[in-house]
Amino acid sequence: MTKQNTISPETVLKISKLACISIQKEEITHLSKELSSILSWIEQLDLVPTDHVDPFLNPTAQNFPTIELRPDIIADGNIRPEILKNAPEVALDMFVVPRVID
Amino acid sequence: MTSPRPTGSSVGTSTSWEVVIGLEVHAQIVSNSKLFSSASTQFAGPPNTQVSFVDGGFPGQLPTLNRFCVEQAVRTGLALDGQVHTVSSFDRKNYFYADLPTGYQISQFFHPIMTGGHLDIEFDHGESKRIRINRLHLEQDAGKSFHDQHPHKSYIDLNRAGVGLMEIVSEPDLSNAEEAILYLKKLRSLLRAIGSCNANMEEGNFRADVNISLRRPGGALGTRCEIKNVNSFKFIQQAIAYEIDRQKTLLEASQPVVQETRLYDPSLGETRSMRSKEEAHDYRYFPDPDLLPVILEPSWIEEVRASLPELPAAKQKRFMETYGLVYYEAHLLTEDVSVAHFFEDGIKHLDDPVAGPKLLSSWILGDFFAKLNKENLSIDASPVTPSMLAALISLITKEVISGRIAKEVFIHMWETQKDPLQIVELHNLVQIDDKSLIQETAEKVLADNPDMVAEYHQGRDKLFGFFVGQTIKQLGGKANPSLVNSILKTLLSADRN
Repeated sequence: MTKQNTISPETVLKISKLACISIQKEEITHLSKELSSILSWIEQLDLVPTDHVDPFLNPTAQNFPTIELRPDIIADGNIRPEILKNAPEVALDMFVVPRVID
Repeated sequence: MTSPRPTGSSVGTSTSWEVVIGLEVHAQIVSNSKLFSSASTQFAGPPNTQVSFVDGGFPGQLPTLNRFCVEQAVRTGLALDGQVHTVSSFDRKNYFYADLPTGYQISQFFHPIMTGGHLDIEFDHGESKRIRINRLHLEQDAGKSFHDQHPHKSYIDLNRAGVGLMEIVSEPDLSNAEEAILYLKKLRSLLRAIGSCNANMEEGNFRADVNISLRRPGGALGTRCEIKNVNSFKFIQQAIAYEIDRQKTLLEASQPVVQETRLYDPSLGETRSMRSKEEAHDYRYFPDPDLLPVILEPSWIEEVRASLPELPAAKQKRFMETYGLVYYEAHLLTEDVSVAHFFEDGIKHLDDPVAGPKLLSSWILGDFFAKLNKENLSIDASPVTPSMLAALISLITKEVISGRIAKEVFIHMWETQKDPLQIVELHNLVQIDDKSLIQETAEKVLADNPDMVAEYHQGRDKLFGFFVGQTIKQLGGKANPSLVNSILKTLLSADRN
């Protein structure tokens, strides 16, 4: 599957839209090439034989690490000034943002 | 969600269209702290006071999973008779919205904690239908946006951001609005019984998305629309009715139904498009690198299973078998676990274990519920306790008072919280069982109404009730009704001869 995943100009536009990053028209060709080359660089990993390697998500593997769980106690919060500190605009102790109704 | 419908299920036809509905319920988990942070989950706290740096999406923060939230999801999965997986994992669902500070929701997309349960819904006529559950997974709730504070701006409170949710996804086994509502009520009652969710639609901790499509009976599934976050049973019913109509009109005009997300507007009574598939979100799910898989010991899952309380369906069956209740009564008594507790608490104090329970049931569902509703009280706030109500029932079964007088005693009991026997003595309400006194009164009633007696003998049987009523009335409402009945019967048949 190497070298098949080229990032087309359409995909670049789609990604920019999904990531809410605005790009200029003249950047598209450049980004398309650059992203494609990053992808093919990563695709070198496909050369590593993994047929006999357990998937990461496999509890039968020896010493498989599991998630750490915490007890259900309230031990955080009540730091409103810190939480709101970086907000560009605050009113009624809430973040104020441009109106978005999806 | 394209699995076939189970055979033998009822079919929601609307002049040759079959309606196919699947529900996605977001049930907020009952826990003290959030799914991945130790901030409080308290409802309606002062804005942004229950937010940690994790919930606020601050850099350099790591989520840590709440053990109790996992337990709640496992309890729920088991109660739905699903398969709880010993391995599940968390993924990121990426989207941008102001109430989601991290830019992604932590959810379980690839490996949910539970798959494949079911819920049996029951109809009034006693038949039932099995609704399959596709999956239950854990995820974070988002913050809350307020759009009504400012004409051009939205206000964001992150107190709810990061509270644990169970998303419970049904298979498309529901065929109409009625079934959808039955399913939601049944699920609500189950979640409340095991205490994993308060399931209160008004507080927004039990929210449903409705997936709905139409097809020709037996044909391939049609294109579905999703109606988002309809927040009351009434609106769900209305939204489904509207959507069936809308899709039917399109299909019959040979126009395609566009797969899209729609929003129900209660003020207009219609659904409208939020976004179509072309502009639909591409969530770019991928495993969350901050979180290791959740691995559960099978023995622990079994411990959780053993700790589950009796579930509403089993309780309903037991009430019918043990106390001789009919389906309708047992259903109403077990729908809400506090009502079931009230009933069983009362049972313990009954004098007559045979006639008592049935009478207690009809009193709870009758006068008692009526009074609670009138005073707008929850059963836990009732001034009449189970033992008080049971004592009143015992006075009836011991024939100290009649059912009619009991209604009067009940009112006094509600107002004064006094023992019913004390009330009976205080107000001199003891039933009159004196046969000769009743006979004397009944004779007088008949003598005073010779025309009616004549009509009765000509076949107007209904007048018997009038004679009974008059006799009881003459005795201040306290006469033993069954004695009055038998004495009047004897008198009238003697009269006829």
